[in-house]
Amino acid sequence: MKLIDTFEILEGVLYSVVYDETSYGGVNEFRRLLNQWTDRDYLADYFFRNREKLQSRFWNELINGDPGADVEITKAINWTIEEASEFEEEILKLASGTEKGKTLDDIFKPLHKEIRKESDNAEFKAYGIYDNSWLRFYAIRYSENLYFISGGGIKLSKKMQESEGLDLELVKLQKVYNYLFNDPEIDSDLLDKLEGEI
Amino acid sequence: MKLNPHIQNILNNSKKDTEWKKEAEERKSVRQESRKSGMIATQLAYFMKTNGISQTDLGKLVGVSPQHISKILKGRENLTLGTIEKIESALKIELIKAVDLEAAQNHSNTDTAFQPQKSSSRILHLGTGSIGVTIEKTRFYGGSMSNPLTPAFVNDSYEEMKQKAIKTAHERYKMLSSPREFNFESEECLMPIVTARNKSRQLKKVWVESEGFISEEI
Repeated sequence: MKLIDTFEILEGVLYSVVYDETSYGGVNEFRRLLNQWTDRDYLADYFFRNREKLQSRFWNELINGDPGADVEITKAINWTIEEASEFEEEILKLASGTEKGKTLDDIFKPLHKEIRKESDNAEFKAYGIYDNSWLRFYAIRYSENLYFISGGGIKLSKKMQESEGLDLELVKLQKVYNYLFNDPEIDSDLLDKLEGEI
Repeated sequence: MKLNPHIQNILNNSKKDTEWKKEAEERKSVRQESRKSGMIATQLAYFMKTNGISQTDLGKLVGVSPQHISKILKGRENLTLGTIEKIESALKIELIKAVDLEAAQNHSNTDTAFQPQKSSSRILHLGTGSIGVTIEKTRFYGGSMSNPLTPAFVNDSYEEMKQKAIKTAHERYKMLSSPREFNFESEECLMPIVTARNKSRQLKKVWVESEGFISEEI
């Protein structure tokens, strides 16, 4: 899997990458995630596939206030959409400059422990949106208020590897880390373009 | 902050994602227009999955393009009442119910009338015919009601009633050992609020607008 492109979401602040194997027609990871998290068709499929994890004692207790009361799939869909939408509107406000003094550091909620358990690399970070949200962005925070999103997904389990699709996210984080700091394992055209600028 | 040339080049060579912004604005506009439509669309998506109905199938049944169905399910277009009726008729299901306010006002039991949509919400039984919800986030967008039994406030007395109810609710709330026991004959209540940036669970006033059934922070 190679990194084939980068997109600017917010100038000088928020960037997202595109991989050859998960490009979804050239859509960057940030846009892909927000499209999926607001798509009832996608979410219904996802929660049906992951019904057992959704209806765990943890989520039942948190959402329905009773570990034995299964979380309804429609409720999970509405919750996901609402959380994603609130987040998206915050980013839109930043993009339009209507939220003076606010930065991404105020919006992304660092979840340090989550990644440290899975990886030795301290630069790897997971960012949630709200308390107890299952939505995750995975990103490298290059410096204060400069983020490179490598991917993300819905995390219904304690460990990343136990949630559908998230085992690949550590690999994607490593790709972006290498791109920024080490040996860029990226598409040669993109590398040529970048080296031509130096 | 000065960035090294490699990072600066990445920033300079990144394409602007104008598509995301366009899609996000569309979704925002649709949500602002109607949140209930989105909740109905979720019920529709669930029905389609459990009955193996594809977007193409539904489009044919209703006489609209699959792209139109797709936009509705993606939250980029709202369901109109006309489309809902066509879907109901084609699938022989009921997605919304017309309420009978007169009959509703003649009943006092509202326990089953309200389905909370927010994960962090709990139903509060507010006594004589009115219902509210607790919220644990500052933003809550209400839920669907099949049978709104709450009396509408008369405009002039609304503020006065609200303030009075808040005061009484606060007094009642303080007497309770658990917020889940909260019971009050009004539409206002106080409850702990937790936000992403404020975990203090401080008590905040929340009230429920009876007509639109949209709760908001005061």
